[in-house]
Amino acid sequence: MESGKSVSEGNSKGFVFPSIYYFPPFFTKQPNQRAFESQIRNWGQLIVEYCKYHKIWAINKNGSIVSKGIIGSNEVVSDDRPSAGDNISNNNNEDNNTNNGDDDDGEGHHSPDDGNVSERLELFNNTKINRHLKIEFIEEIFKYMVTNNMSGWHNQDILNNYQRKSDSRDSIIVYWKTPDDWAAMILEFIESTGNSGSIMTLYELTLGEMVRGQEFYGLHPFLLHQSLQVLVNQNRAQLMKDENGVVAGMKII
Amino acid sequence: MSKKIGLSSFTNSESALKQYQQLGKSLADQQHEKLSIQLSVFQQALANFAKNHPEEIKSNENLRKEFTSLCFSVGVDPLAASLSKKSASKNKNASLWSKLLGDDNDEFYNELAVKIIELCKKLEDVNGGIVAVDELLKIMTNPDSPNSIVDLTESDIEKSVELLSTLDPNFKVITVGDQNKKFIRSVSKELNNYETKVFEICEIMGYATVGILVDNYRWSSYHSKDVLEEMVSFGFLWVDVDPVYGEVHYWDPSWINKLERGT
Repeated sequence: MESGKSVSEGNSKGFVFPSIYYFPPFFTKQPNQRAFESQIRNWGQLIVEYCKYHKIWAINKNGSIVSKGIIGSNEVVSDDRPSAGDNISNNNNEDNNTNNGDDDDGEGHHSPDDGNVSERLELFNNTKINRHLKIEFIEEIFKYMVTNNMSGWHNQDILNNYQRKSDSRDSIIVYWKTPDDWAAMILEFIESTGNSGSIMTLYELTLGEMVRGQEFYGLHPFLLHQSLQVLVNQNRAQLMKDENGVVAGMKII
Repeated sequence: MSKKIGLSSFTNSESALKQYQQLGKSLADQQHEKLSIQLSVFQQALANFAKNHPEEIKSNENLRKEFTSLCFSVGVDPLAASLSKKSASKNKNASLWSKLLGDDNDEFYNELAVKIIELCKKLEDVNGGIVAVDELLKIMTNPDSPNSIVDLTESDIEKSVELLSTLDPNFKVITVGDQNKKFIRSVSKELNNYETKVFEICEIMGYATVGILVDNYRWSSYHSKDVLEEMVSFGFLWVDVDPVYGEVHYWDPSWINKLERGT
C-alpha cells in the first residue's frame, strides 16, 4: 500500500498525513481480513511517523499525548516526571529546570498547546472528513504495534524500580526508534567520546552538557532503561544502583 | 619442515600460512570456475530450449510452469534482458520471454509487465485484485517516484497486460460501464454483472450504498446488500460507517489515491 504518498497541505504543524488518512473507511475496522491487515499496518506506521515528527514518547487510547518532548527539562510534557526524592536523576532534574529553562531542541515546541498533557491528538480524529477511531480499534492497533516491536506498553514505573507495574494497556511508548537503536546510539556516543569505563549518572547520560544536541538528549526514562538493558544483555554495560535498588548510573565496559 | 627457533620461526610459519592460503584460494577459484561454466552451459541450454520450442512452451501449461520454475531455481530470470548477454545468444537485447512470445522488439512491454505484476500484487491487499488502469498509470508515472516511467499511456499498460495473459490467464483487462472504464484484474475471480454495476457507481461517487443501488438499478435492498457484502469479502470494497446516519458506505479503495487533498 502506497501510504507513504504525501498530501501537500498537512494541517498538523507541518506533519504530512498520507493519503489513506483522508479515506473514510480507514477509520472503520475492515471486516475483510486482508484489507484489515493492510489497514492496521498502515495505522501502525502512521502512528510511529506522527510521533516521530512531534517527538511524542507516549500516547493513550483516548488519543491523548501522555509524554512528549525533552524529558527532564522545562519543556517536558509528561506524567513520567519522577516524584520527589525518588533518585539521583530527580534531584538533577530540579537543578536542570532552573538552569536550562530556555532549552530548545530546535523543533519548535513553542505553541501554546505544548505543556497541556491531555492534548488530544487529531491523529485519531480526522475532522476534515468527520471520522474518528473507536477506542476498541485503537486498543487493537496498540496491541498490533506492541507485537510488532513498534511500541511497548507504558505501564511500568521504571523510576520506582518497577515497583508499580500494572497490566494496564491504556497507553503505549511509541518506538520511533527501538530500544536497540537507542542503545546503539548511546554506546557509539560514549565510545567515541572516550567515556568507556567511566561511571555516568542517568542524568548526565540524557540531560548533561556533554550530550546536548545528541538525538537521545531528553530521552524518555522508559526507553533509557530499556536501551540500557539491551547493553547489559550484550555485556556492554553495568548498571549502578542506589541504596534503594534504583538504577542511578551506568558504565560502558 | 624443519623446526626453527627464535624470531625466524615466526617468519616461517607466516610464509607457510600464506602458501596454504594461496593453495586454498586457487582450489576455490578452480571450483568456482567449474561451477560457473556448468551454470552458464545450463543457462544457455535453457535459452536454446526456449528458442527452439517456443510454441510448446506457450501452449503447454505444465511445461511452461516447469520451465519457469527451472529458470528461477538456477537464478535465471526468464524476463530479464541480461540473460541473453550471458548466454551469448544471437538476440542480444531480447529476453527469454520475448523470444517465447516471438516478439523481439517488445522489450519495453515485457519490462512494463513485470512492473505491473509487482504493483498489482502489492495493491491486492488493499483492493482485492481489481485496479483501474488510470490508477496504475497515475502511480507508475508519479513524478515523485524514482521509478516513474515517462510518456506511459493507458494503452501501453493494456497492451502489456494482454501479453501477460499468455503467461498468467488471471491477468486480464476488463471493461466496466458505458464509459468503457478499464480495469486490470490480477486474481482468478471473475466480475459478474452486478459487481460491474457497483463499480460504475463507485466510479462517480467513490462509494456505493444499498440505498443508491436500490434507487438507481431498482434492485431489492436485500440483493443490493448481498452484492456489496460479497464484494467486501473479496476485498474489492472497504466499509465505512457514516457517523451521522449510521449508513454503511462501501468505498472503492482506488479512491485512496483520488482523495489526496481531503474533502
